[in-house]
Amino acid sequence: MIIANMSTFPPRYPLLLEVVDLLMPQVDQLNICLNGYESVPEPLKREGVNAFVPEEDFRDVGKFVVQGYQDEDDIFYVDDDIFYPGDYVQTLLAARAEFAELNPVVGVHGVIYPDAYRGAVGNRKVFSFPKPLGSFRVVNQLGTGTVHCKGFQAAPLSYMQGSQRFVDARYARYALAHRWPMVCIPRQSGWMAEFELNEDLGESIFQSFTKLWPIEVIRECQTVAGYSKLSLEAVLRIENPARSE
Amino acid sequence: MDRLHQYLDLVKRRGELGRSVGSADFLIEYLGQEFFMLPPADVYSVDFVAGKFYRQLSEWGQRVRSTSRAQELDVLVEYAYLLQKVQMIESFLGVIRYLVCQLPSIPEESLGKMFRLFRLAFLVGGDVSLLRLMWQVDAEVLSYVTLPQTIHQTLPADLQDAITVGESADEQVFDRHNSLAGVRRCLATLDGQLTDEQYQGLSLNQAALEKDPARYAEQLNHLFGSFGLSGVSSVDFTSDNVLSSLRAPTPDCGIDDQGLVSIIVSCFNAEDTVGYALSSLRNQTYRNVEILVCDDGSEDNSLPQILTHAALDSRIKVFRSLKNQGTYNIRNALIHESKGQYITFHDSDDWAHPQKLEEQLVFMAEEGLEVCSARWIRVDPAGAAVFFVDGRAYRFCVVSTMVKRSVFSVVPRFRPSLVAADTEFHASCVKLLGESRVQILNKPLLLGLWGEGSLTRAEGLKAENNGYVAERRRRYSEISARQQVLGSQIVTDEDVVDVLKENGIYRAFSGVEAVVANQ
Repeated sequence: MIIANMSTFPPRYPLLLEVVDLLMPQVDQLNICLNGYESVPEPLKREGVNAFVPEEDFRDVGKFVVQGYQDEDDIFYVDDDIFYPGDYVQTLLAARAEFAELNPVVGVHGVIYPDAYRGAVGNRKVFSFPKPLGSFRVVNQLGTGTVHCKGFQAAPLSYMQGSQRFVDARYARYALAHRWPMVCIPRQSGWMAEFELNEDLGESIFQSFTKLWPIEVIRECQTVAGYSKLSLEAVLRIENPARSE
Repeated sequence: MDRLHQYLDLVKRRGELGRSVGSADFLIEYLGQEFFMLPPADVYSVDFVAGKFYRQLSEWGQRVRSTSRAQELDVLVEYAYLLQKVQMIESFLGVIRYLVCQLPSIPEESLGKMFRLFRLAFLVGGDVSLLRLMWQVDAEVLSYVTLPQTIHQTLPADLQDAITVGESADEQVFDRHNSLAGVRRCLATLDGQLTDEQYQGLSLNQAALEKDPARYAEQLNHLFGSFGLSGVSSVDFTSDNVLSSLRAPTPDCGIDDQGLVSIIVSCFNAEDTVGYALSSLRNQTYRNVEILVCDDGSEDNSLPQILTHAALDSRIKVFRSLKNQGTYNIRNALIHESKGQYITFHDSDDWAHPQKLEEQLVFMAEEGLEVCSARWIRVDPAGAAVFFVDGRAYRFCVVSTMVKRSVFSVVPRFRPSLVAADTEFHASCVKLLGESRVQILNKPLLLGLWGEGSLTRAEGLKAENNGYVAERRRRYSEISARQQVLGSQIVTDEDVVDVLKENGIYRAFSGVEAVVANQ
């Protein structure tokens, strides 16, 4: 079963419907955590969509609220402000399958931090999802708006709680703790795009937050940061396959 | 900018301008009392960098951000070098492993540096799996890596076939310096390839291994003489430890009074060595010293020996730990007890050349330094000099570090560790004061006992002459360097202490009390 998980809030509603339309043909089920909503909007009451209003505002952790997957389920974590191409799910499924023996978590937006990372946004190697990438890269962290993993790799809500607005770092930590390499996939320029946001739609987390790293986030990043923490097995297999035997 | 930051900035500006800047000096001295011997976290709460490697490391992220793949690996080789320089050893080893995986893609112009760092990483970690990784990636390349015979022969057979035995003078000296046949062979066959240091050290070893005291003294005097230092008068090989038999006259001091120098010595179960260690300090040409000696709960006759020396020399002040606490807690306590304008340290099994203090004081004055370390020669109990894997015997001696008292108003106090807190302290000096004010005097001013009782040779804590550094030391080095690089908001003192505790090298501070000699 292919299951996608999203978290959203009311200002994004116009975008949300577009993103749902892009994803629904590609997945069996789409879980949507409606933070700040009073009720589930009628257009979301449709087959395959499990939209729910949580008792608390989970913010971006909302995409980790639904639990109880089968180990072999194909899980996607998605955002409400990204233009997902029609072959998005199949592309990520194929990418993961190619290296299935490594149990990777795959995604489109990857980051490698310096080993001594002081929290400056500009001081990272970022493989941004709207930009092209020529080949697979093993990374420290994937943006959880572009992640695919298996059901057994879905992080428990209890683990993710407290990481509101830095879920990427927390999930990267979860993956590292389980020795699941994070792999950023190759793509053409513009294969994915971010919807242009304005004040009415609510600024993105990046705009409001990630340029100003709070200290607890930098400390969280230390646990995954650095070329020294990249899985050598994955680097050999994925980035240098001729030498991995 | 808070007061500490303002103060550090003032110290930095004064250092850039020159040694003496009237009102600035007064202000620094006045304000410095407030910041004397702060905990590391207090100092590293301020983003303040003077050392060039620390600056380069903090700027590295900007360089890698927009690089192509080839450029990325190129700058990553440079990054590994910087990590090693600031002692983030575990990260250094990890980055080298990553680079080995990427070996076929590393630009040719960076390969030479990469191989040197790779070799260093293997020696530091002593990890055969690193060699296997390179073998897996490119077996042919592995043949370009050379290792001394004595290390090569410890490898599994298949790796011995793949790796070349090094035949350079440095490697042969390392391999052969501690056997008579080996020393003779080096001296006979490497003539013209040996450095003065190697020739002098090997000649010394030949005399030691031939048990010829007259020739040993002659060679030692030749060695010291080549640095303009006075000689020894006698040595004998009947004792278990040659250092205990060294006799050296004390020449006249060649400099005027520079102020009081405090020498801090800790001692634990060192009854066989503390006597000559203290004698060598008492016999310094520079006389204006106080020697603060603390017995750290010895179970042997160390304390009576110390008291005997104290009875003969009023400059010796004796203390004892309230409970065994390790060298670095003692240093923190005794710095507060000291009165010197300069502070230095000495181990209870090392012999200081009579001109050690004088030479350091001259060098500091001439170069305008805040911190000066010397070199030492490690000698085994039989008197043979120990050569390290780089083919050198005159090593950086962190214990010898002499600092102006005011340094402790910039650099934090010693960490409560069983080992290596002086290495961290020295790195702090470099980071906070800059390389130009923290230098090494390239003269061998100490002979350090290379014995089994040393902590550098204790199982699990080794720092060997083959380059190996024990994992527990590496972990401490990594976390303390991280605090220096990242600041104490990201890496707290509690984080560092946790690592010390996890690795069994934390020592709680217990305090000291004065011991009166006639009791």
